[in-house]
Amino acid sequence: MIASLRNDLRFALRMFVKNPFFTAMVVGTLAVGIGLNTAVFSGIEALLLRPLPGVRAPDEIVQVYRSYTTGMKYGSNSIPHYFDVRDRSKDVFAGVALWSFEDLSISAGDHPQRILGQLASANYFSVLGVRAARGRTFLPEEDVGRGAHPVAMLSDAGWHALFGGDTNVVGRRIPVNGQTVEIVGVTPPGFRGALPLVDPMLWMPLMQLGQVRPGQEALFDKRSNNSWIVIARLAPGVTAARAQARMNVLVEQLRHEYPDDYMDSGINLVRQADAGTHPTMRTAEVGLSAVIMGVVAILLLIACVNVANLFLARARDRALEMAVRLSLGAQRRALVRQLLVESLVFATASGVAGLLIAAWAIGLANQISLPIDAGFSPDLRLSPMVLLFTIGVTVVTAVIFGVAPAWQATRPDLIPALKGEAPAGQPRSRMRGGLVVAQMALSIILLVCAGLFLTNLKAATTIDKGFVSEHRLTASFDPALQGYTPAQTDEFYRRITADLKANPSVVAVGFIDQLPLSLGENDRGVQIPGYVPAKNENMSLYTADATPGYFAAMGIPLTAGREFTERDDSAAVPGLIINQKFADRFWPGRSAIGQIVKTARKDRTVIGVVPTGKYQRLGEDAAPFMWMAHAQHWNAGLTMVVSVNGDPAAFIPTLRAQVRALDPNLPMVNVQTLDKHMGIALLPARLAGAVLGIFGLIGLLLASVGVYGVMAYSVSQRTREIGIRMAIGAAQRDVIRLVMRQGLTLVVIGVGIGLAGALGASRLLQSVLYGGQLLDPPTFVGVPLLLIAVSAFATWIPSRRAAALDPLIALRHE
Amino acid sequence: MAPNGNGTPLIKLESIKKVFYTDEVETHALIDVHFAIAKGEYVAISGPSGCGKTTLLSILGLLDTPSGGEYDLAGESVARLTPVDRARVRNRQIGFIFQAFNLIGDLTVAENVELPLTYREMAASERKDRVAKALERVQMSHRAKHFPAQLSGGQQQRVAVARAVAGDPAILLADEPTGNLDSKNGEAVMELLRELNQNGSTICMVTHDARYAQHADRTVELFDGRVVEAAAV
Repeated sequence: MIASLRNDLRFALRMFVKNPFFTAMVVGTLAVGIGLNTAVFSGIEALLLRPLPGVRAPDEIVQVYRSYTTGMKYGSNSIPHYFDVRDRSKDVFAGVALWSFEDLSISAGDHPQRILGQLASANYFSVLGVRAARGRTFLPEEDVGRGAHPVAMLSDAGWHALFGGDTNVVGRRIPVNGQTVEIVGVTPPGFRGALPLVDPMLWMPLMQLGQVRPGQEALFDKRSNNSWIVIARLAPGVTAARAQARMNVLVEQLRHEYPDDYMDSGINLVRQADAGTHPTMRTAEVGLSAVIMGVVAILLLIACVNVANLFLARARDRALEMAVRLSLGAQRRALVRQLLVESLVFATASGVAGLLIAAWAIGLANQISLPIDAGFSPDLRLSPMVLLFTIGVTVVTAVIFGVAPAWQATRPDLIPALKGEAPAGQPRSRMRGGLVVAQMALSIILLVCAGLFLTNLKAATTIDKGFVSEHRLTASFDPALQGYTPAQTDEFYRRITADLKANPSVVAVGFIDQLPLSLGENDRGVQIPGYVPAKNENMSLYTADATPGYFAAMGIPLTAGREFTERDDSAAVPGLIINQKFADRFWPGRSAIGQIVKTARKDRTVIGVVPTGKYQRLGEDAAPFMWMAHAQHWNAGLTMVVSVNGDPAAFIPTLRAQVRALDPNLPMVNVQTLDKHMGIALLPARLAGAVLGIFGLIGLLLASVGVYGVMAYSVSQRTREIGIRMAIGAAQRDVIRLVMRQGLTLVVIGVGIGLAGALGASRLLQSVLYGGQLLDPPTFVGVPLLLIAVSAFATWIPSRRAAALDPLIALRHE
Repeated sequence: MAPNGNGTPLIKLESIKKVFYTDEVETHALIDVHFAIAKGEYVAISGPSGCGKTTLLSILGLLDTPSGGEYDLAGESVARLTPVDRARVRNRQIGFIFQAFNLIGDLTVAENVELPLTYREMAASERKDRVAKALERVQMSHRAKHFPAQLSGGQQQRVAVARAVAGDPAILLADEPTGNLDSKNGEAVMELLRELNQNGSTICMVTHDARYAQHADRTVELFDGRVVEAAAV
């Protein structure tokens, strides 16, 4: 058996190098399919399957969420709550750590810059099982004593980006938010904290909260501030279910101790492997991944069909060889094995070439930069799991494109084949015709899915977002990080507003704590006097803090009431501006102006109503939204919106100059046009559009090449028949009609079957489409017409060649 | 009929019929064919084009099955053999020599000769030994590493003969073995077959050329699918 396999392999290698053009066609076609599948899978591996990199025993890590009877299942935590969980669950957790993302102002070189860092409890690294590559991690004593531990850990990425990999970095002192901290260590390469896809630059101990968030030390004791992420490592032998049961008991205890905070809430544990970036995004991530993986799988199938057709053509040419082998006593299974070994050799070469294509595509994907200041780094790579996937795909590919030709090739019509006569072609024609039909059907499914997705995304991007993005600039500041007091911060905002308004190009200026359609969300529980929520009704609603001038700067009209003014200060009655959806939900058919909303520990009066827009995603359903006056719900970090006449990008230097004139050291980030900011919201659409568009075009190209190949081969096989037809009087147009009818009949059958398949596939897509139309007529009509037109062209070329045959030469053709 | 030494013919055909069906047309290629070949015998089957010679040889070589009648090979009926058994019999008991040589162009001379042996799960050393001996018999040892395209027609046919005898089969079936050769090379191949027969090989050769039929011990004459004459040469 081994000797036979060795013989098969030797012969297969000989066949591989025998016809370089054939080999290039096969390897090139399959490499595209295998490469794209590998590249897409590497994305899925990074997003959904890869354990936290650099973390010891990541299976033991769980995310600790707050859950609410209002419907939220994966809420963040407060610091006091974290202390309770940490100190009262030592029987089920080996350790519990807390962290949060933080914007930090740091001076590692000549100029201050804002970077993405994290505040973390001192046990963060020990819970994750990470040791320092240089220096040390945080010490247990650094979890005690507020403001007493001005130290920092650098990530490997931060070490290189901020300090150029300086080997003497440990012990260096650098200003962070205006205070000096000592760098005590660097984490190992690959470790990026407790969240996939994002590279923080630096960690500081939780005890330095006052330094990282000036004026917010009160959060240490504030149970209502649920903005912290908590992770835990299960104690040895403890299951997640047992830990969850323990958490349920803990919640009961906390409910007695803090009834206001735990009346409607509990603790929800989710294994890190199941949580990924966040459980709420998991369904969308899985759905989108499945769609793209399905699309590239279809692409690979189309490539396999093309290659199967090439092998079928070659099988016909090798009929004599197979007949000789059979006549010499070869068992059919031995021949099938031999041909499958040949397929495997071609597939292996294609797999290797596919890996090169995947490496190239992965390199491109890793360079994608999001229009956000979040250190996004997808870190796609050809990991062992991805390589294993590629090997699997390669073997499956070999079987898919190899089996049918092997089956066909080992059933030659022995006697005519041995005499070198052309075998009867009927069965082979049926199989090759069947492959064309399959190819067309797969192409239709691929193209219709891509078309539906693109149409749907386009619809999502052209919908009314509730504000005007043209002629607007944005820039983000956090003066507190530079040591500004609240009064100095307000003064800065007032002066920059006044300076800008003095410029004749500026129409309006306003500030908001978070622009709409950014990543992230703020929501806050509300109570409406006189309104009794239904059981499990979500009373936690989206909110933002806005300054006077914000709505004018964003081009958001007021449908009732007024905008915030300077009079809405901390001494005034707290005011609230809401959107129409908010008004319709709580006061249908009535005026919302003057109504009271209890939120953020105050009664706030509705002073204005604006039309409902889009706040989180372009495809979201209409959601209630409320804006509090910034002066009445203060925080230091804001994003400025400037409405200008003319090109907003041209105004950026003026904006920078005006800010520098006030404070040359104040970091300013995300200085861009509002249109560019929209890139965040449009990113999924643009990425999916680009990916699906490219995949669709490749599919179309493969399908048309496949049809051309089959028809060209068919014409070459029918040369003598065509010669006879021409000899007895067929005109050129008759020959063209004959060949095109044969090709297009197969195409139309395939298109029909494909449309039925696409209908089924579109139902599967429903979960990831933005509520668009499944039976989109332009897609279901346009795609088949496009495919038929391209196929007609691919058929017309060989039909022209057939019509140009010299009957005399054709009649002599064997 | 000339029986072999122990009285049982190596090949025995009784009332063999072969009918081809195409659409609504029945073509009777062989009609009630009786004959036998004894071990060590050299038989020529001759007749005009379309008389059924190749069909008969295909049935003898288990490449095709008769529509009726009995075919015994070495005393065993082949009627109930499974496709796997038929392949095994072809591999061990029958050696083919084709008009168009039918060497595999992507294999060397030695690999072509070795081919039937590779389907026997035979040890590599024994295969090499047999290949060397077979090539020596046809005086083609010096071309062992060449590919068929590098050989003349006569040389290719000698390699095909080597391939046929390498497995030491019970009978050699030759289908117009000189059909693609000039007269000089044709004579050389006929001489080679004569030598093989003299050394004990049983040979059944299809030819329409009376000159070559004379090399055989006897001739079976076919006409319109029937045996019209079986005569010693």
